[in-house]
Parts: sequence; C-alpha cells; structure tokens
Amino acid sequence: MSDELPIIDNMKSEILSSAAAERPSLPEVVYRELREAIMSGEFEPGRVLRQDEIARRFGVSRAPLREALPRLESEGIVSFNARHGYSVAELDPADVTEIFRLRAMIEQDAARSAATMRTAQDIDALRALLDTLVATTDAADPQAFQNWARVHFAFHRALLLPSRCSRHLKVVDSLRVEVESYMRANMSHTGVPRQSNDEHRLMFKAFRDGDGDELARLIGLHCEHTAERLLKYLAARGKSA
Amino acid sequence: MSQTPPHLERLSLPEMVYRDLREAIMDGVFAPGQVLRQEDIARRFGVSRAPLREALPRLEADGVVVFNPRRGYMVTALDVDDIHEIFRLRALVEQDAARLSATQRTKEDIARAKALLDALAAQREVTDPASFAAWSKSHFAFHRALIEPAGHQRHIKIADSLRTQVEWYIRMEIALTGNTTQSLAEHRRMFQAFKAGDADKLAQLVSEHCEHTSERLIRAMNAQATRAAETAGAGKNAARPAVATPKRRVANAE
Repeated sequence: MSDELPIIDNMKSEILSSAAAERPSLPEVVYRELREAIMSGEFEPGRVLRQDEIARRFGVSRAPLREALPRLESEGIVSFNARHGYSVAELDPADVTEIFRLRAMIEQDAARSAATMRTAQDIDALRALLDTLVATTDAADPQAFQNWARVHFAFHRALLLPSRCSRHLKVVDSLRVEVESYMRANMSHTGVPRQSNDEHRLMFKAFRDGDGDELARLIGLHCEHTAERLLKYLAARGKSA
Repeated sequence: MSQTPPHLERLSLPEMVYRDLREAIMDGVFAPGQVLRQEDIARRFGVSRAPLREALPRLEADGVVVFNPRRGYMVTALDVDDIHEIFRLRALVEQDAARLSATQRTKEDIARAKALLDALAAQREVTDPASFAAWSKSHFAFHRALIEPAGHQRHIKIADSLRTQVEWYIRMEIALTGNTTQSLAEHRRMFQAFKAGDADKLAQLVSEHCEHTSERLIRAMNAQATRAAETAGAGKNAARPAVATPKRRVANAE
C-alpha cells in the first residue's frame, strides 16, 4: 500500500505490526496486505476469497496465501467453509455487541496500566498521532479517508502499548480488525463524527496526565458510542438491502 | 499419539495436524522453548510439510507457538509476567461470560457441568501422563461448560486460547504437588454458584480461581527454577525457569 503518511511509515514496525522483525517474511507481508485490503473494504464482508485471484492481485504464488489465510481465520477476520473456501467474515448485530463489550473491558484493563507506565516518548508519539488525526479529519477524498482510518487504528494501539500487555493488545487488535471494514464503510458516508475526535482529545489528556480511571471511563464511553453508530449502520444497511 | 475425537467427522488434513500438534504441546511432548523443526514434526505425524505450514501460523495466532525469523517456530515459553497477564485477561473474559451464563444456563447445561465436576473428582489423583491427560480434558471442558451458556463465541475462543497457553505449566505444577484437591474445592463452589444462578458469586469465584491458579503456577515455576539451579551446580546453566520435565523426576534426568 503506497502513499501512506510519513508518520505511519515511521511507526509501522512498532505500532501497526506485532512482529518486530525488520524484514518480514513473504507470508507475513501477504498476511498484512490481505488484512489491510479487508479492513479498507477492498474485499468486502461476505466476499469469497479465491486464492488464484488474490495471488494475482498481490503478485505472489499461492504458497504464502496458504499460511496467511488460516492465520486470518484464527483471528476471526475470514471464515472457512468446506464448499466455498475462505470468505471475508460478516458480522451481525450480536457480533458487534459482543466485540465492543470485550473490547471495552480489555482496553480499559490495559489502559489503566498504560496510563501509569507511559514515558515522555509515549506521550509525544500519541500527541503526534492525535495531531495527524485531527488534521486529516475533514478528508474529502477516499484515499485521505483511508489514511485517517490507519492513523486512527495506530492511535488506539499507541494508547495501550505502554501497558506491555502483549496478549491484551493482540486480542484487541484482532477484535478491532473484525469491525474495521464496517467502520470505514460507515464513516466514508457520514464523515468522521465530531464527537469521535473530541473523545480522542480527552483520551490523550487522560493518558498524558496518567489518569488511569479517567482513561478507562473514556474508553468505555468511546466503545459504547462507536458500537451504537455501527449498529445503526447495520440496521440501515439491512433495510436498503 | 492423540486421536481425533470420533464425533468430528471428516476433518481436513491441515485441521487434523493443527489439533494433533496443539494437543502434543499441551501434553508436554514438546516442551516450552523447544524449536519445532518442520521435518521432525512431519515425520512424527506421518504427513508432508504442506499441512504443517497451515497449522503453525494458526498455533502462532493462538499464542501456543512463536515465530522467530532465525530459528523458526518454537513452543511458547512463559515467564512470571506472562502468567500474570494471562490470568488477568482470563479472569476478565471468563467473569464476563460467567455472569451471563449463570442467568442463561439450562437444566442440560447444569447436568453437563455436574458430570464434568464428577469426572474431575474421580480423576483427582494425578500420578502419570495418562491420568493427567484424562484430568486435563475434563478440566478444560468444565471451565468451558461454565461459560458456554452465554453464547459468546469470542469470549470462549479467547478463554480457550489462554487456557491452552498455560496447560504445560499446570501439568508441571500438578507433577510437583501430585494432587488437584485445592482446585477441586474451588471447582465445586463454582459449580454451586452456576447451578444456583448466582451471577455475582460465580464471577467472584472465577476471579479468585484465576488468582489462586496463577499463584500456584508461579510458586511451581520458582521451585522448578531453584531445583534446576541446584542440579546445574553453580547455576551457570540455570536455564529459563520451568523448562523441566513435567513428570515426577528431577531436571537432571534429561
């Protein structure tokens, strides 16, 4: 994926990916690109992922795909069906409710630790992400919106990173990836809600001030509001379908 | 080595290899920190390397193995901080699901949990790998039965994966202490709260159980490390704690 904001390039290895290896293996690269293609909505929910088609799209053989797909399946991002093979997982309202319930709980737990363990560098990194987030909020074209969405993902990850709770982070990442394409599809119609950035700003302040309780409270609210918007979107989509 | 459960009809080869390998790791066939050489495993399971290349990334996603760019896949080795994190996360997820379960469980759910509790009581003397395997299966199923009525697939999946990650360490702890009486008492109380539909009580017991298990495992890891240091003389080989045979043997038997 070209054309990313420089800040994403800088933080890619630390924040966007969990593997620290500087030169990721081909299956790892294919895994990340396919995941990003699903999150961006290029491969939409329900779409059957034909291996030859994806291999052609990424210019690789089918071998690295055979490692990437089961991994994405383990993370709940694609599902496997004996007859149709792999397809992008679809969510119903009950899934969305469960995902945000788990996310709120686990993010709050990690955030409490993060707020007490964050260093001056962590605060600077989060501030840089917040500034980029705010600057790209009114993005009009689709590419700029995809950039906003990537910075948004990185912001939420950077909030929890100082907790050093690698399992919390891993679970939260895959829960977030599950809903990401729905979030982006929704926001590409509605634009980024103003409320959302106000909440990000408050979260940054609580993180900076080391106020774990306040940060946890804000994360709870943020999850609640995001879930509500997504459920509305699903309901509207169901009606128009 | 391990057999595919008979009720699971027609699994794909990669799926079978995935389950067998996961079970072999849980059973302690491959110890934490051990490098999993693909040709060795392929030979052991009598398969080609292709299904392994699908199984290993899945086990990595489960947290059971880790990938190291230079050494390849290795069985995840845990330290004390990992144990703390795993049980902290497990307590959160299981408590949340248990609250819902306690209010939604049916008569059948209660009967199933009761049967598993009875099995745990009958299997409480763990003396060898076979009796551990039997107890372990019931134990896994019992904890799952307490949260399944909530109907939250993701909670179950996360709890399963966290439980799988510590399985080897539970085995080691039981090998040191030789019995499961303390945990059995806790399992009984959890079942009572589940049966009574007391959500708060069940959540509290689940949380305490996680805390106690975590403490026991850490004690066992420390004991094992001390023992390994003693056997290794000056301790220059004082390897990572908790890499020792889970059977009732001292570490130098290897």
